[in-house]
Amino acid sequence: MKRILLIPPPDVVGQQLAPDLHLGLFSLQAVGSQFGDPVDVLDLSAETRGRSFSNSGELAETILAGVDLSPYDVVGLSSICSAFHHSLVIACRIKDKAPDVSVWMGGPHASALSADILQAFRNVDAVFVGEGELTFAEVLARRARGVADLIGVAGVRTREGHYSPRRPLSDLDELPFIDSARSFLAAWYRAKPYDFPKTVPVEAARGCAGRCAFCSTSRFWGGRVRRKSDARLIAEMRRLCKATGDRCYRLIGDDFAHPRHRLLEFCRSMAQDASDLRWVCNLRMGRIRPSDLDSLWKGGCRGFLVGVESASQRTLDRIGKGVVLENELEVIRRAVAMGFLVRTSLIVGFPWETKNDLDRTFDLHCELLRCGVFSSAVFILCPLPGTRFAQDPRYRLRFDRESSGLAVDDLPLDVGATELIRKHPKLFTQFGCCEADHLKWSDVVAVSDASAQLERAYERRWRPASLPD
Amino acid sequence: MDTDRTTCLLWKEVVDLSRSRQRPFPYGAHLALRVPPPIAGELPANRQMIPSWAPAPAATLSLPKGTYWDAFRAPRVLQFDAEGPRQWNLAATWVRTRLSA
Repeated sequence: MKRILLIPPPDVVGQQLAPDLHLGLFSLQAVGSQFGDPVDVLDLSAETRGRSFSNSGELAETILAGVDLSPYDVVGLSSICSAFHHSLVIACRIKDKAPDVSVWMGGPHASALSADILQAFRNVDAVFVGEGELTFAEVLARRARGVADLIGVAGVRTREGHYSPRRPLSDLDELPFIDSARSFLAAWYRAKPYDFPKTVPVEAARGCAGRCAFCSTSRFWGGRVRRKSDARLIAEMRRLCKATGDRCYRLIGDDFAHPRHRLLEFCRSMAQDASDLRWVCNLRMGRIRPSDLDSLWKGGCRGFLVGVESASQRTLDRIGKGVVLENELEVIRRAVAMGFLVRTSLIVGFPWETKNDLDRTFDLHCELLRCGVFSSAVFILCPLPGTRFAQDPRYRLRFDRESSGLAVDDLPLDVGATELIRKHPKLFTQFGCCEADHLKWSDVVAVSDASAQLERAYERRWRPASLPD
Repeated sequence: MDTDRTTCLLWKEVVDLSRSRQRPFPYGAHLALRVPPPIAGELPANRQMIPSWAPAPAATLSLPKGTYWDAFRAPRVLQFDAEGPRQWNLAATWVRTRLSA
């Protein structure tokens, strides 16, 4: 049996490929280490990374130009919304170069649209739906026995077989340690210079207890939060510390604050057993109290990302955020005063928003910057596949407006991509915008643009390379 | 994109900061503002503006002596305060009217 090549979703920043670290692919490679290590993660050359691109076709050609496909019978493409159109072009080029190679897709975007993708794109042979490790382990075990097809494998949708979903992994401690993925450390060293502050990513939790209307997290990872045990997380950080010498970690997980008592227990464990390590995470603020910040600091936490989303409580209630804005802002202000590096993000362009809502969100962005957050971003609402804004017919999507910054990278959509979107709007809802009856769209774009300009100026002024001690 | 609107929002933040005389200026010397349309005709084109209490930008552009720009600490930047020249008030008024339009 030949090998499997995994290709990360390309992320173009300033016309060049950014050295992003896609943990999901390394997690699959780590699974592969238990089956004879038949999995490679594409490692682009410095020359390829240094090149400039003007369209998806050129990007795909360049990525594949340096790849010898002869050792592989499968190429797996990870997909996120901003690179999905690039991934489709790559799939097409792979089939041109090596028609016998199977192309599999996975990741959040492909998972939400698996049946539609297989129907629309013959160059994609299978879609891995949801989290991939258990499914991938079964596939690798079959391949080790000489079975190459995917028929009957739960969690994989193909054109031939019946699809049955796979239950997510119940205990995240069963995942292999990420540094058992052969390519992980090299990829991290490549990405490190671009990371501010510099941290090593470690997956800590999956799933989200929130049901925010704009977010696809709970649809992909599930609505129940699964956490690695404190002992496992500390052991993983210790291993990485030994390998890299770095003491600062980015704990990946959308709802690391849930349940609150587990977060506080983790902080106690860190203070007791790993007081030399520092970490940042994502926090949903609904359950965090100002007094919890002391426990977080003592436990080594030095920063967090908060999705504030809007300055309008009415909007927060309508999207199901489940927070009281004033309480959330109180925690943020206190955290900044204590020295935490707080990142915030906001969204504009909700279908019901008024000009007043828009102005207040801009004012909040400015206030957060003035108050001293590490960064604040304002995105235009991105109707991600599978979310209410993409599916509910009450929300009318238009594709003739400036898309959310989440949906596009720095490579302008070319004629081919535009044609794809026109032909398959359901597969590219992220490029659409929800009609907002009470807003001029130019005002939405101006708020997003002015916010980004302020953020860039602010960011250039001070940007610590490491977490505070 | 409505660039006037974007300019207006940037100016709004600077006007607000100026009112509060907030120090340190959170955007450092990097916030380069386009001249608002109402005063564009009164000034040489493509001038950038920041309030005089903001730090001077790292890069400056030399201009001929004896010009209007001599009066300013950083020649590339037109500096002015809330209490300062007429242009500041024009900018503040423009922000107010543009935002309520």
